[in-house]
Amino acid sequence: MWRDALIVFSKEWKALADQLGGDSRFGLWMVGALFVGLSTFGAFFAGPAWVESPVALVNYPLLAASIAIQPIVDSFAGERERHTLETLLASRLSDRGIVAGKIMAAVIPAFVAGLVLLALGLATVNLKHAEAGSLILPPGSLFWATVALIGLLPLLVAGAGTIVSLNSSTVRRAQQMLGFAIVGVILIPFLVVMAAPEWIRAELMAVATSSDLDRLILLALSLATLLAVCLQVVAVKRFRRGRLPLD
Amino acid sequence: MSPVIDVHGLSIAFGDTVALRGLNLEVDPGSIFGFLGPNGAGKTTTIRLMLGLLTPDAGSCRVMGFDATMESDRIRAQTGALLEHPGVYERLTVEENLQLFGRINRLGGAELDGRISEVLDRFGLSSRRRDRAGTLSKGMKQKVGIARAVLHQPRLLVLDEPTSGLDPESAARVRADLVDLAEEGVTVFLTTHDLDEVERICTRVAVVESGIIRAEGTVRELLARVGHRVHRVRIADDVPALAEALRSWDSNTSIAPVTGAGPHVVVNFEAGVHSVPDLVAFLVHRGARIEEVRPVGSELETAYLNLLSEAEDVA
Ligand SMILES: Nc1ncnc2c1ncn2[C@@H]1O[C@H](COP(=O)(O)OP(=O)(O)O)[C@@H](O)[C@H]1O
Ligand SMILES: [Mg+2]
Repeated sequence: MWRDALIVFSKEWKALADQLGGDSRFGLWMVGALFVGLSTFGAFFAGPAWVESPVALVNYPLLAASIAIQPIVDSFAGERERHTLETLLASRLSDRGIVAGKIMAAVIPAFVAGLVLLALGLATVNLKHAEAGSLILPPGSLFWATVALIGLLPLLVAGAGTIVSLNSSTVRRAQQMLGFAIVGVILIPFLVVMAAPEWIRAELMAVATSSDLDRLILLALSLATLLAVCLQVVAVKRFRRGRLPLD
Repeated sequence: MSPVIDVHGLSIAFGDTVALRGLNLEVDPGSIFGFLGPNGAGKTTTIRLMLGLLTPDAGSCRVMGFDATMESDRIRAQTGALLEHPGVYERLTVEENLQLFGRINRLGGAELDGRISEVLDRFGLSSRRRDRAGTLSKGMKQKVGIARAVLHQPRLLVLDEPTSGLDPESAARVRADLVDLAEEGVTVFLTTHDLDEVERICTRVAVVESGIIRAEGTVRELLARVGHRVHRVRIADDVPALAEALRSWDSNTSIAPVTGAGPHVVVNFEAGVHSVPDLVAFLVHRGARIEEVRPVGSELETAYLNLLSEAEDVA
């Protein structure tokens, strides 16, 4: 399985490398510049608070997750649209190898890019406030949680994106569906909380505003891990070779 | 020898469209099997079922002894396939496309490099080796697809209309290669609507129409079963009242003037009541100066068209 996954991963990587130097390179580099801007701008103006508060550090996992969207939406729907899916499925690649390779191709670049952006943010804060004399770093648990989320959030998006892309006839359709799904994931918990009884809301507020940062981190991490794992399992199960639309 | 492909009562429908209705097939090892039929007959669907890319509603399909629903991974591991679309990655170079599928099929290192050079050479693609596949013409992509299918020297080659879109020279090269491969023991299953192709290289042929086999056998057997010959006779100058005379002589004839160089007429004739020598004698007797007597299309084409019209009559 992992051998196959690596083959699929390296194929996606080559195609991406070609794109970075191809016709659409201008757009891609612009998006890259935008991401760099997003990760340094806040850091520049907010100062040390940028790295020391949890809210700002949610920023980098979200940036990483958004980097995973395009490749994962393209994973199956794009191959279907370009008429290469059937040949890929007719090869001796294993089911899991294909799914894992496609997910890796979305998650690994997003993870690496997320870490680079995080490093850029930290560098910005530290350069701006070099007079502090010592390095400005987030508290240890917060830092490692952020790093973990930079991996987990793209993984979560990739799981959902695979499920959507597997059965979409075009990349456009897959994008729309994933968009709805993401809005749903954000909106539904919000609505549920709004509709919940007063005491539950009070309790949640207490947790969210408590100074017990570690508890909050633990909650976020376990929730993200659980969702990410569930979505991977569903994605693998939904990949049924004899039942996928081929064109 | 047990058949390489063994299909029994294979049926599948897409919504209201019944694509296959109880298909039966047996393909022997080392043969070049032509799966012949008009558009929409169910050829592509059959190939997809053989490779486990679709699940049948009923019937069984075994390939190299493996069940195409339960053990399709074993089938894919020993098959080279060129499907409806060449399936070439346009953003990769020709070489990268081949490397990808070589690795998928567990080739690597010097062995893979050697094989790649060999197939590129064989299909006249060496000069395009480092070009992005997206820059190739349709026919070239088709050739890359075939090169990819044979790269790992599979036991079975499944090709969906392999020569469609190729220029005559390349098509001839591909056919010659298929014959070579069959001699090496590879079983070739190809779909086509090119009768000439079937006649040239196929050891056996099945005619499929509306998801069912209408005829199956060697090309010779098929001809014996349904072969009527259509001929076209070209006559210099017009012979007075020839049309009426011909019509009353044999209703299987028709006559048409030839537009273009000089006064010519053409008699279309289908052997049945009378034979071709009968016709020639009749025409000469009437004072016609015959320039050419030529069979129309290939014999197999006539047989094939007859088969399809028989099928229509039954339906
Ligand atoms: N995925 C599909 N959905 C709906 N109809 C299909 C699908 N695949 C094939 N068909 C129908 O099944 C029939 C056989 O198609 P196909 O196997 O592609 O024929 P051929 O390859 O001989 O031209 C056609 O009527 C076609 O429209
Ligand atoms: Mg077809």
